[in-house]
Amino acid sequence: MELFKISQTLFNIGGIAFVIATILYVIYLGPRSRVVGNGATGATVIGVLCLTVGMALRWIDAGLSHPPFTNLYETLLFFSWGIALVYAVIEFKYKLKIAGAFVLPISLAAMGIASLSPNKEIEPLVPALQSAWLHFHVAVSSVAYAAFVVAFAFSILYLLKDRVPMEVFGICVAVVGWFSMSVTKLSVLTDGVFRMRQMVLEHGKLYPVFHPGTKTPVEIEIPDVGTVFLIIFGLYVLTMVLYALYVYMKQENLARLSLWAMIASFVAQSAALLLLLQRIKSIPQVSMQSNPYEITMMFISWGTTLVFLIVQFNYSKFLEALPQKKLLDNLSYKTIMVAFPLMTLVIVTGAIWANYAWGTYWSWDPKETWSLISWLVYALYLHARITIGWHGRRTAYISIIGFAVVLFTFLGVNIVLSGLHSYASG
Amino acid sequence: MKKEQTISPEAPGKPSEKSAGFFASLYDALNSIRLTVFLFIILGVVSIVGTIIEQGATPEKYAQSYSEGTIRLFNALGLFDMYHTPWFFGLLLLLMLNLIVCTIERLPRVWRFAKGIKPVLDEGDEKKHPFMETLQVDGATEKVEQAFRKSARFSIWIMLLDVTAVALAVFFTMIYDLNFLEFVSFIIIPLGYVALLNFPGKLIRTEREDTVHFFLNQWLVSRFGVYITHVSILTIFAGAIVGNLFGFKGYIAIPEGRTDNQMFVRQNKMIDTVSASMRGLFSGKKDAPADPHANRDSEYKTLPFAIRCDDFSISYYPNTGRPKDYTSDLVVLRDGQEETRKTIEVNDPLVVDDIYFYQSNYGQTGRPGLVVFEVTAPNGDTREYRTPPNGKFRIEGTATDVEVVSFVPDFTIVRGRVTSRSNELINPAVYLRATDGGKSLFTGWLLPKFPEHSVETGPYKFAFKDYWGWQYTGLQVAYDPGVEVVWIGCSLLVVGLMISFFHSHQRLWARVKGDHVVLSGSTHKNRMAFEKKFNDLVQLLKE
Repeated sequence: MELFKISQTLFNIGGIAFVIATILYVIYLGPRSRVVGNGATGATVIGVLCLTVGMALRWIDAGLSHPPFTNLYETLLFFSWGIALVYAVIEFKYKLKIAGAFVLPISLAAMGIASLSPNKEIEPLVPALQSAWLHFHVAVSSVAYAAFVVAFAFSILYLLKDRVPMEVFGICVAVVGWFSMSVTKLSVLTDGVFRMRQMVLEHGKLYPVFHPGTKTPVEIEIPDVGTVFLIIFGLYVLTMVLYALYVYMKQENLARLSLWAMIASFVAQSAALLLLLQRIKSIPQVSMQSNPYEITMMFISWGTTLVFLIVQFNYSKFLEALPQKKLLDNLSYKTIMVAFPLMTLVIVTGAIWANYAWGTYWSWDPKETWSLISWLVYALYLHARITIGWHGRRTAYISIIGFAVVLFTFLGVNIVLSGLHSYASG
Repeated sequence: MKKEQTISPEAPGKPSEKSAGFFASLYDALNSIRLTVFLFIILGVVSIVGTIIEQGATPEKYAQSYSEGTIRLFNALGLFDMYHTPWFFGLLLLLMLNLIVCTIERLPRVWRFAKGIKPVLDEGDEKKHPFMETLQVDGATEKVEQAFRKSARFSIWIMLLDVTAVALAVFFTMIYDLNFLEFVSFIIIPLGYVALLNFPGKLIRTEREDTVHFFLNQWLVSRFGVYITHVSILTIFAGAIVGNLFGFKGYIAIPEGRTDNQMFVRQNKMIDTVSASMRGLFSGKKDAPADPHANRDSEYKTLPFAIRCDDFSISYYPNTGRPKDYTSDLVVLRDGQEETRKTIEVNDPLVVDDIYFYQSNYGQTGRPGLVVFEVTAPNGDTREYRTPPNGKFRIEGTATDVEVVSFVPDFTIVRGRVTSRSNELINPAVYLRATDGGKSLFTGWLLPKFPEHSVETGPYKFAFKDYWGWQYTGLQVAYDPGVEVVWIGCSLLVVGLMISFFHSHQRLWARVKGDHVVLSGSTHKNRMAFEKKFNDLVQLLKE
């Protein structure tokens, strides 16, 4: 129990370190002060160390056969750790601090979502998860996915440096935001009410409540949040339309308007998040765990909007600070070259585990299929790059698509599609 | 990039000059990287479709989600079982052909290239390579040789890796019962990669008249990594085909105490019956699995031996309802003779004649079982008794009759009434009524999980053992003669990718004539890292 408490404290310190690192990396985009840069790196290293020791202690506490990456909370922590670690290694190798402002927020987001989870206890392993292959599978997947995140950040930076207009990014951010919200709460659009699943505490763990005799969860209306959601949806659509019009008509007013729409959407999202957190606190029947994915998606959309706004306001300084295009392109390529074999290893170990658990190494369940799809996207990237000789924007786009598919494989499949991996949903 | 492209032997093959005839143009089509790109995209897109439309669900379920016309269209296209349709197989086959032709076309070129590498740097050769440096060094020959050796020497990290890898391999071999091909896949091939790390290439020293040539040829194998990968994908595909043609996937449900040799098999062998029946168990849902008999394309198959289930049990983590393990005690009977027995659990199947039996699910048969007790008499004599609910038994050697009035598997009290919370043996309870020669001895609930609330059982000690015979164990049956081939392919795939992407073929030459040194180098990938290595080497020689 003591070990558990110490590990929780370490996770908290690590989280604070990542917050500091993120802020410093963002500041570093402007004045490239050495002190700030070193501070950011230092905070990252401290964060990684805290997480490493924390997870080791948690592992010791849970017993050797129960590594600290078996439920959503632990997996998110582990991925946060992996992303920061992979980034730190690349920064150390290439002395390149500028990407930190893009990678660390993702790591922080994973950490933040994990910390929202009410279920931080070490949970006993259900039988299917008691396999060394599986533990290996998850461990490698953290590094592989982290590397894809870093590659994604480099690809975005490449596109920025290559002067892909900010409007295009604006449209993308709006689409991503709209999509990530609608994927989970499209129902808000049809009836304007935000609902969350009712939970009940049993055996010290929260379980959703179902209507008797059915598999339909009991949902509780959360007052006011639905309205704010509708506003956010509207603002995103407005941003999209305005930016699209700007790209078409090239009128400066439109650009300013769309930026304001984006800012308004950001404010509305912040309000929605605060309101939702407050409501969750005040309504005892619901918890963060009721709808973890929706909250995750809200944070993703919120963070994306924030990063966009920061870059938008700091555009010229930011462009200056970016390293050469060619370096960014190569770094993205190199990261994918490292991640691809690892990702293959992830799929292979998953298949081996599946075979020893239930006699079939490939059953085309949605999680497997989506991992194969992301594999195909990166295989396409590598063939396009090595054999055809594509580089620059075209490969950067493939890398971004690849990241989107990886993200969907990791989270989206559990939200939208059902499958054998359903244990990872809570 | 561009420059490296032109000298790279992997460059895309030019279409054969006169592509007359159908076969020539077909060959060209199969040789094209554009086809690969196209197939990747198509396979990705149709796979997405397959995850959106639920695969292999019941007709009733489809009727709920789609209109009749849509169902007819989807059915015609095979979208309800897309991954097993001829056209999906055709796409995969096309990808394999593409891969074979591209490999046949490019591998010999790389081979010739590798054969044609000169270990000497002739006058003017340095201009052919992207990295070049001319230096004046005192005692050049020794210094260059030293520097090159330093570059070729393996590091402490590699040695650490060796030790770890060997330790892991030994550990793995000891705890897992691997057959030969599994041993090759999981032990030999990965160790082969570790061995490669130790010997990435050798230093060649050539003396000609007054000049000495040094050549360091490292990771030449990296150029072949892509072909290892391609071959491994073909291997996996071959293994999958073998498995689908000659193997089967089945399901067998055996109630406790019964014997069965009739296995339920889907006729389309490419489909496995797993997913539907598995979901219940792995998501922790307690409802009975979908009845596999509901599937239309199914048949029964007789196993050459019979399996008896002696017991099925679930163990729980203390103080929670979370299952820790599902186990079945199985006995293999051949011609009525007991052959082997094994207690299987999830992740630990039973193997008979290469047929695997996996713990898949469980359920209730609907028939009452037997309550099993161990009763210890005051004199220490312990015996086992079995009786159905409402049944009676007499404790041997005494006049005590015990009647099992009622039994609940998961005892709870709701509004003053005893009821069972679930159909699991989480908190079993037996209502006992014992009489001794007609006069009442004790009456009440026996709660093995809560002895403090249990009835006092007089001079006897009652130990509840099991409620036996009411559950069945659901076993997934798999026979897959191709699976080890798939493992070989998987292992080669990972190793091949690591060889191609973690390393690059690097060549370093030096021509030493007196104090005059010409250094030259080339890499087929990862220019940045090689540039650093080359510059470090130059720096070292300058000192």
